[in-house]
Amino acid sequence: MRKPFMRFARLHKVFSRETLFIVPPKRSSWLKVRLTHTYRPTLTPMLVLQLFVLIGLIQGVLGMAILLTNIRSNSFTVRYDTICALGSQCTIPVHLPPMSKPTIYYVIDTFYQNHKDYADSVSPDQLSGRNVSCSRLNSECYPLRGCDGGVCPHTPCGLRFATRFNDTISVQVNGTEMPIDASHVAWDTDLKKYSPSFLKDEPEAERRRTIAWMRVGPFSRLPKPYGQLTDTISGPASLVVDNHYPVHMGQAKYVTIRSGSTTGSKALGWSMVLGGLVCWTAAMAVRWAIEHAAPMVVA
Amino acid sequence: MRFPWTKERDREISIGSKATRRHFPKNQIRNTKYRWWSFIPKNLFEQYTRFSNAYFLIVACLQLWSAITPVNPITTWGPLIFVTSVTAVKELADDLRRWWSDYRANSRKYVVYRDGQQRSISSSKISVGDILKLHEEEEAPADCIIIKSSDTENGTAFITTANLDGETDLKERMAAKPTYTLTDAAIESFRGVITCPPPNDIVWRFDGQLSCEIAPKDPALAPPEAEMDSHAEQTPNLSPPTPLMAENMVLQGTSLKNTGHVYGVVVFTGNQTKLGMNKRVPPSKATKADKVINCSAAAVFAMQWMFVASYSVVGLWREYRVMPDEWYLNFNTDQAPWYEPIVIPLRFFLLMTYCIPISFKVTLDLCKTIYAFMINMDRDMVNQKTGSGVSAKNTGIIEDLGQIQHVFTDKTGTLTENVMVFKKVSINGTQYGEGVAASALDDRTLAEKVSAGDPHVLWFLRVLGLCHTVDVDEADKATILRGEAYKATSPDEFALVHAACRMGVAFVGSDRLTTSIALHAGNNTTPKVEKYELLEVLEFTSDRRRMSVILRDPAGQVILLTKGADDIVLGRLSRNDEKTSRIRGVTDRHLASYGNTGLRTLTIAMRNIPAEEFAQWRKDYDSASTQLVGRDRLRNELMDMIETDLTLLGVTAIEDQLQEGVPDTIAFLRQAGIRFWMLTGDKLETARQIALSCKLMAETAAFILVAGTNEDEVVSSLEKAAVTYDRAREGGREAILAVTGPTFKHVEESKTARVAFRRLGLKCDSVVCSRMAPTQKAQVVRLIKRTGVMTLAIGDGGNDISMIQEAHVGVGLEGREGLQAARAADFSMGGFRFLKRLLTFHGRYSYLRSAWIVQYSFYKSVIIGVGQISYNILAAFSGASLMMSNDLTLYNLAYTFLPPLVYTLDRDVPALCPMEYPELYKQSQKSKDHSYLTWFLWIARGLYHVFVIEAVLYVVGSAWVQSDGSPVDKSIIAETHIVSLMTLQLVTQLTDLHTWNLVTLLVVLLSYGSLWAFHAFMCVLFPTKDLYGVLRRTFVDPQFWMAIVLIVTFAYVPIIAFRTARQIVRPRLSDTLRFNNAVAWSVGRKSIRGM
Repeated sequence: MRKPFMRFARLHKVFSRETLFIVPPKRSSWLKVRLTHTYRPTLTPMLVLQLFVLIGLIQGVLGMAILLTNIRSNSFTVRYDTICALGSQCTIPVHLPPMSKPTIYYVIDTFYQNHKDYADSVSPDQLSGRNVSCSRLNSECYPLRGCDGGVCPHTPCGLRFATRFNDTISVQVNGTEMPIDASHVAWDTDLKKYSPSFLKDEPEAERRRTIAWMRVGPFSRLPKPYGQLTDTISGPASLVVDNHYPVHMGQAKYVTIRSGSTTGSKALGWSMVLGGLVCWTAAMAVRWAIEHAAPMVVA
Repeated sequence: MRFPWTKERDREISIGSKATRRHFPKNQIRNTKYRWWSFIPKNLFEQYTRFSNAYFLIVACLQLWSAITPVNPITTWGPLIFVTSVTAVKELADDLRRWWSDYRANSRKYVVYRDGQQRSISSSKISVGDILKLHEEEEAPADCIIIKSSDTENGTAFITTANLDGETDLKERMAAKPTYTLTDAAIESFRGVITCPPPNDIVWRFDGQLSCEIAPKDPALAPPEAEMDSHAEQTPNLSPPTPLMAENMVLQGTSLKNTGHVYGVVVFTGNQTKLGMNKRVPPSKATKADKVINCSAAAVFAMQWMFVASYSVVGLWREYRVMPDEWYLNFNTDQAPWYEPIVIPLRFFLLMTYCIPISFKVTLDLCKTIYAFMINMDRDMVNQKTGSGVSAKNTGIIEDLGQIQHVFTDKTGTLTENVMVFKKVSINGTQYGEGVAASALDDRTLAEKVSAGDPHVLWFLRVLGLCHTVDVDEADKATILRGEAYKATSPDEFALVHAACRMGVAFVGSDRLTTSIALHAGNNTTPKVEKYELLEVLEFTSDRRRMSVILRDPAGQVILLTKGADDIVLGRLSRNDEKTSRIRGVTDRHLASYGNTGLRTLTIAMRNIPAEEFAQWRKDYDSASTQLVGRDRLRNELMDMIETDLTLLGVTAIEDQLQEGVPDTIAFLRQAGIRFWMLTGDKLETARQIALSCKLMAETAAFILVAGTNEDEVVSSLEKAAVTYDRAREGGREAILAVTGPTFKHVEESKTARVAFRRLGLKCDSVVCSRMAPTQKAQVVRLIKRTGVMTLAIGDGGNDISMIQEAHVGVGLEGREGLQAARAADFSMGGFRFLKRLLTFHGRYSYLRSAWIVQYSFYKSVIIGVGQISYNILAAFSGASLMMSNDLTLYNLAYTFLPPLVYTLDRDVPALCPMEYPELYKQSQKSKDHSYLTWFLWIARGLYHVFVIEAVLYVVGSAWVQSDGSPVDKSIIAETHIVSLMTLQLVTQLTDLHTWNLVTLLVVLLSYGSLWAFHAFMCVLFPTKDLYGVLRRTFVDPQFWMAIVLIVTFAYVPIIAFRTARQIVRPRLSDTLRFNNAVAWSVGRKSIRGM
């Protein structure tokens, strides 16, 4: 930018080459070895200005890039608990945007899976197939009972498992059901974590969906993966939903079908752009201050 | 039977009696704080009666209740056990050291005589009433009364107190009068009774009596009938009591020197000795920052409770009103246990306990130890002549060195060398050694008068040669006459006796009854020895400020020779003596001129005492000496009585040179905003002269003297002084306030005067207090300290101890007057000039470092505590924990434990700057970096960072789709949370560290790396844990990294922008220096590259 605003004034004595480094006491040679190479990272206003510009630029570019990748992503959401009565099977006609190998999610809005009592009500050791004492099961699965009368149940205990999602969702195009691949629904590490006997009687897809369900959602809006369509889909289709899972007045159930970028959401993209703007605003403020500041002189 | 709570009456020690031995405790020294069995309970009790520890213990116990604990109890138990054991181990090490030194002292072997039988027993078995035989070089195991010494003629013994106060000169002790002539065999089976007060801590005083048991076959000790008193009549086999004084006593810890052996009766044992009674915990001093820390910690605590309270209200409302609808939670409010309503508040409380850093005291103590190490190791503060460096004894208050506003300094030995050079003398109205550089020792006229036998001059020199407490080493006559054999505690006395010797009146020695001088000047080559009978020594005290001896001269005349402070001696002169009134006026003028050139003066006077007056006085004095009660007061009155009607002989003037570097140090520290108060016992003119020469005041300064002989005068004088002050300020001149001890006494008595004096003293550039008594020095410090300013007192002698202990920071110089001051002080050093480096370099850096460490510790805790509770906004206010228990435990113990420690190596400006730019000191002096404002900013920063983290996590996390298409779960959010939290810590540490070296960089990166290492470990190895498989997903997810970048950007860009703007708009000197240094550095590099 312009010429440096700092002026030298009688500094040669203090800032000569030798004094830039600390010369420690001679006796403590062990200190000397490490301390002589001292660097003074000084955030001078000019450096701050340059850093802000640079970071802002990087963030802006990254944010834009993320937004660009999201241009081609499409999603479709429909709320079905209001359309479909509890305990019935409904077919919901929908018009889908073009999506390539989209993932199907079910979303329960306002479901406090992260509630302390709910999230803690599980016995990890039991899930991994170890023998857990009855009293420990009772305490770990509170507020439910882990076992009654000293008899350990075959099914895992705890709220997380007891209240697992049991609606089924399928997509039909022209009356034919699209195949849904549920193999990526659960984390591969989770599959190792759970014992093979966990839900061994149920279909593999159902087992994996349950394992995904058992992961605690961080927020009150709870999206969970249901499966992935193996094909491209577009235009009119129908969602077939078996509505079993009870929700109360304040809750809502959705099906979301989404395809596209997994490198970042639009929210992330806009946040990065905002971050870039913050950097540039700060840089402008610093620049203004630099230009209007009096020169610093050490008396 | 004596109970511990009954007050012990006067001791009656019956020598050789079994009952006495049983009655008093054995000589077991115990300085340890704990016994082996009491260590654990006592130490734990002490630790857990402290508020913070008790608080965390309650928290840890609450966490054991599984219904309420949001996290694993190890998160609190781990750090608590760590902190407790660190403190306990430290205490144990200290106590073991004490135990070892006790053990060594207790097991030393001594020879005692019990019932006439010689035994060799260990020190701890010695009991009261034993007769102890102490050999040369042995250390006395207990307080003993000497009853016989190997010097059978005089009964003298010499001891050194080097172990106690560092004084290496020999001190003379006397064996008790009635027994020192006995034979060894008689002593070994000696029986008698010593009566003395109960053990007390007054070292210089012992008021006892000794009565010997009269063996029928030894009539020599039978008392003359006339002196039989009532006490002796009741116990007819005891002789009348003879007084025992401190000079008969050998104190525990002193060693016998130049004496073959002594026999002593043990009177005080174990911890009841004078030394033991003086061992007490020195008054603990808290740093100025401690108050800010405590108040701010209380504020954080209050903030924590506000969070807990408001979250609890919402949480309870939701639990009872809203949550029953959430069927999946299986709420059954009807069947809830009775404690259900307190579960949620307690959960929030437990989540928020992380707001108070548990390991913070341990960390801070460790840092202070590091500062002390740096101070002790500093080669730049070692006095090359004496080899003594600076030693930080009270490590707790090192930061206070960076905040000193007022320095109270002694003059003699502190500002000056305390090397006295005899310069001038005024005898009988004639000055000798005129001219600035000339010395009276080289004055021809004086030498001629001495050899001519001028009576005025000779008597003057005789007083110098006779009235003192100097010893002569065993040496041949020539050495003594050259003046090379003298040993003295006081440099003044040494200079005087030495000068008298050089001028022809040599002190050649004294014993208990006589003192001799040799006149050896002039033509008579054989020195003429004059032997005087020593009748009484009226010793020097800081209250009396004079010393006298009463002698019988060879002609049989009783004479009193006095030397002392001018005002004291001049006030005691005879009013109708012809000679005195003749020379009084001219001597006064000489005194003033000596004072004006900064010389220390003493007035010399004498008196002929009529024989009958002396006989009467002697009788009174002896009877006063045997009194057990009020002995000192009576003796003082009698001394005053005899030391009157003096004839003035003349004045001596001694020069005391300034210490090396004193003017520069004072000038620099004054520029640094430190005010100086000079407190001295010397007279005003001398003090003023020294003040001028050590740049305490400028030549042009207005010297405002407050004077008065009563309260009203003092008050009006202070009012006048205030006017003078204003006028000086209008004229742009320095204003120096001056007061003398007698005036200050009135100031201290009146409240209005005190207030006015304080106000004026705080405004003036410097204050000079002269003729101050030791207690007055402490009074001045207390008066100023009460206004809240930071005070430092520096001195070298025993008379400065009270002032050193009173001030916030006490510094003692290892001077010629021993180590007393240095031992009592918080810091000891080898010269006044090191004060500059101690304050502006170590003090300032330590202050800044601690300020950062303390505030950072709270910041990092607030950010985690508030972060934990804030997550509950998204988690139904249920008391859920976002972070994993492992991270919570390790956060304080591993992730962020070391970075505060490496900040102890930080230097905000290059190492040379604090010693070059005095203005830098003002920054720490004014508490710019550790005040309620900075605390507020730090806590606000923490809250803002929590907000940024939570907001970004929510916005990014809600729309976050992983590469396999699944949305994020809580463990990924938690992972992002802890990583971004630690990245913020990393940025905080790296941007706040002003110096990076290998150590700091390594430690900071290590602490950040430990997070990664631990998470990688957990990710792979523990399938049942929440962290299993998490890092593997996040590490390769660009959204994870971008979330962290976003958090750091939003959290730090505004803060750095504001900081930079502040540095530009209102730069501090340290900022400017740093920036200039950075520019100089890059320029320097470029020029090197160009070559």
